[in-house]
Parts: sequence; structure tokens; C-alpha cells
Amino acid sequence: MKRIKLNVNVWRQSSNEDVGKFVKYTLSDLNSHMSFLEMLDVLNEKLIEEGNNPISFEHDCREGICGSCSMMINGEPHGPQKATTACQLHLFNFRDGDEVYVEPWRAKPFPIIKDLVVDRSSFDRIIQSGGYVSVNTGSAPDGNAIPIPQKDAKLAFDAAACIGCGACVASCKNASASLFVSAKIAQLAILPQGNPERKSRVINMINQMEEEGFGHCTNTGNCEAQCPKEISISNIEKMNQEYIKANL
Amino acid sequence: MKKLSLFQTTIGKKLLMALTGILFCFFLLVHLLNNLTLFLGPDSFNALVSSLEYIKPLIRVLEVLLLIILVTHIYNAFFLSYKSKSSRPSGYSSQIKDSSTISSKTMLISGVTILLFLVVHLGTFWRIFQSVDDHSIYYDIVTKNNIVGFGNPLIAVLYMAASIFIGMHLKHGFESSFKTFGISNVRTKNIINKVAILFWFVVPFGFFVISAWFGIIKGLL
Ligand code: HEM
Ligand code: FES
Repeated sequence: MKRIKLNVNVWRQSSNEDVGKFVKYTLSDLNSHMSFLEMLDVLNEKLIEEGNNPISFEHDCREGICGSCSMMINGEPHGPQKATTACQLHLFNFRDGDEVYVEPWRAKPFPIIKDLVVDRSSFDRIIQSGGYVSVNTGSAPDGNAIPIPQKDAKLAFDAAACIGCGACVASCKNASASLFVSAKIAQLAILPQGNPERKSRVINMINQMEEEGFGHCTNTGNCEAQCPKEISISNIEKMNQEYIKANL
Repeated sequence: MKKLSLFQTTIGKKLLMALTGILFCFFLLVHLLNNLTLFLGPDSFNALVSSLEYIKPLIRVLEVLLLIILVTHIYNAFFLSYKSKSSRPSGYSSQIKDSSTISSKTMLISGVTILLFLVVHLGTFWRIFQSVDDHSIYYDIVTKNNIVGFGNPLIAVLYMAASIFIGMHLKHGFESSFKTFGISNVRTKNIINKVAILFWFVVPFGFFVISAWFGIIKGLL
């Protein structure tokens, strides 16, 4: 097991009104098998022992499925490892003595709460506006009661892998939420269960996306490249298609 | 909450850009085919330009349409670019990695360059052609005039540069507009990929060759 030293520059900002800045912390003797968040835990213990304010960062599952560990690491959402969330990023991806920069997502609809934590409730409001299906209450439906072609099941499942972390917005030059919104629209538009609200869903969700102030899509594809769940940009084509059809 | 209509949303505005962009691509193709007659000599080119005089009303209608197309494209380009800036009022403080293509990241830069070129282009060739009555001198204005025509090497360089920027703009723009139209069928996409080469490479290359040939190479021979 290797032990490494890192110079971690973390964005410190006490509130949304405050102007933040990078603060440099040097951590030596780090276990290279630690995750990036565990490294921040070690740093926070140190800060607390020294009587300083610990770094605020969001985390929950720490197994790459909840999407809360949002942070920009060296200019990439969730850091340099492809298809990996920050909580699953291990320090062996860095070299001894590396300079590391950590800052929050930057987008108007993601206001900074403190340090690395941003308010992503704009995503919640988009989901509330239409990212659901009507179901009959009662006992669980029989499996395979509705036959679904394998191709569609796969496409829907791939879209459903989106964890709503916001990396697409963070990495987009326009701060566009198109990849997130399109994945949520496509996963339901492809399946028969999503059909009853198909039209109203796409109209309402895009309406909400616009209200929240996200930017437009230039189809550059950086979102797809940076997405920890490798959501395909073809979902955006699907969303555009659904939106155009719903308006005809 | 008020429901936004199609063209009030960024998707609708982008759709207008894609539509107008593609229409303009077809205009460029026709324009190039016209210009290639320069290689057939003065008589062919002059005859072609004069023949357009006979369908003047139609040409005027098409010009107005082109103007509407261009204004719609440019207005939405600036609107969306401005809006996306306001979606990220305070940017990142560290160096951001963006692996997308240069042409896709520089659409506004290539677009504005094309616009500046268009102003020069319409302010010279187009404006002069409107007022020329002698149908035998069109060819000479284009190939020999040493202020506005390719007799001026600076003009030739400007036209060559503009061709490159149009190529860059369409390298991303042509295929991108079909994504905006929502065409997600894999087989269709493969065809679009191929057709795109005509618009982002062959057409701009044709314009490039014309300006390089008449403005520079011919003089050196
Ligand atoms: C020769 C004339 C032009 C042609 C053929 C053309 C074509 C196109 C096409 C096909 C697109 C793709 C639309 C999409 O992705 O859906 C596009 C995008 C764009 N065009 Fe043009 N364009 C031209 C001139 C201009 C001019 C003069 C400007 C600006 C002043 C401009 C600015 C833009 C911008 C900023 C985009 C990207 C929009 C985005 O962010 O997605 N274009 N253009
Ligand atoms: S903490 Fe849940 S995805 Fe990272």
C-alpha cells in the first residue's frame, strides 16, 4: 500500500453571499486506497482538532448511486477517473505531490450553500413537474405482465441509470441541464408505462427546466464524456423529438 | 405557472437556428455551383450572372428570404449565447477540462467571423453587381479588381479565411442540427454523417479553391 502526499486546494465559502476562495491544505502520509471523500474526512478531522471550521461537502451512499457527492476535482466533475463518482474515486488516481483543486458546481440554478455544497433542488422541481408515471395502487403488478422489447428495456434502463448528480450541468459550457432532463424524459417515454403522461411530461419538465434558468444545449457532448453513469447524449435527441411531437 | 410555447424555450429557439442553418447550407451549395462557372471563363460566368437579371423578381424574393433566415439565425445565436452566460454568472476558478471538439466550442466565434465576412462580401460584390449595367465585366470585377476583387491579395486571404471558418462552423453545425431536430435513428445518423462532409468540407473547400486560384495561384503562374 502506497502512502502519498497531496496539496489540496479547496474552495471555501461561508455562504452564498460570501466571496469564496481556494485554501490550500497539505496532507501527507495519505493511504492511496482511500476514497477522495475519505481524504476530505481526514482533512476535516484535522481541521476540527485544530479548532477550525471543517469543509462542508455533500455525501450519502458513498457507493456511487445517490449522486450527492458533487464536486469539481481538477476541472472535471467527480475528478479524473472516467465513469466514476467522487466517492468512488481513489487516491491512487493521483501522484505523490500532486496539486489538487476542488470547487463546487457552478450554475445559477445551483446556488452555493457552503464550501462545496450547492442547492440542487432545481432538479427536484423538474422531477416533480413530470418525472413520474401514474400507477394503480394496490398489490405489486405481475412481473412481465406488460411485454417490453429487449432493445427498449435496455435503452430505458441505460437512461434510468442517471443519479441526478448535476455533473452534466457542471461540465456544460452553457450550464445546460439537457442530459439530466432528457434521461428522465427518455426513460419513461420509451416504456409503455410512461405513455399516459407522455405529452404533458415533456412539456412540463422542459417548462420547469427553463424556469430554473439552465442554459441551452449546443450538442458539444462534454456532458456525456463527464457523466459518472455514462448517460448517452442520444437521450437529448429523444427529448427534442418528444418535445417537437408534443407541440405539433 | 405559465406554460412557455415552443419558440419561447431554448429548445424551440435552437430549433429555429438549426432550420435556418440547414437552409443556409443549401444556399451555399447553390452559390458555389454558380461560382464554379468562373473556371469555365468570362463568357460562361458573365452569361450566368446576366441570366439572373431575367428572373430579378424571383431573386429579390429569395434575397429577402435569405435575409430573414440569417437574421433569425443570428438573433437566436446571440440570444442563446447571452442566456447561457447568465446561467453561469460566476465561472470556475480552476482550469476546466472540456473534451468536446474545438469546432463545437467555438460556434459563436466562427459565427461572428462569418458575419463580419458577410458584411464585407455584401458591401462589395453584391452592392457593385446591383449597379453594373455592362454585362461583360462581372468576371473581371471578381477576378481582377484590385480593391474589392481577387486582384487584391488581401481580399483573397479574407475569402480563404472565411471559407475555413464556414467549414469549422458546419463541421459541428450540420450534424448538430439533426440532433436538434431529434433524429435519433442510427441508420439515418450514418447517412447524415456522410452528407455532412459535402457541407462542412467540399463546399467550403470549393470556395477556398476559387479565392486561392484567382487571388493567389493564378498570379504566380
Ligand atoms: C454561412 C452562414 C451560416 C450557416 C450555414 C450556419 C449554420 C449553422 C448550423 C447548421 C448550426 C447548428 C444548429 C444546431 O446545432 O442545431 C449553427 C449554429 C450556430 N450558429 Fe450558425 N450558421 C451561419 C452563420 C452564423 C452567424 C453569422 C452566426 C453568428 C453571428 C452564427 C452563430 C451560430 C452559433 C452561436 C451557433 C451555435 C448555437 C448553439 O449554441 O448551439 N452562425 N449554425
Ligand atoms: S456519495 Fe452517493 S454517489 Fe457519491
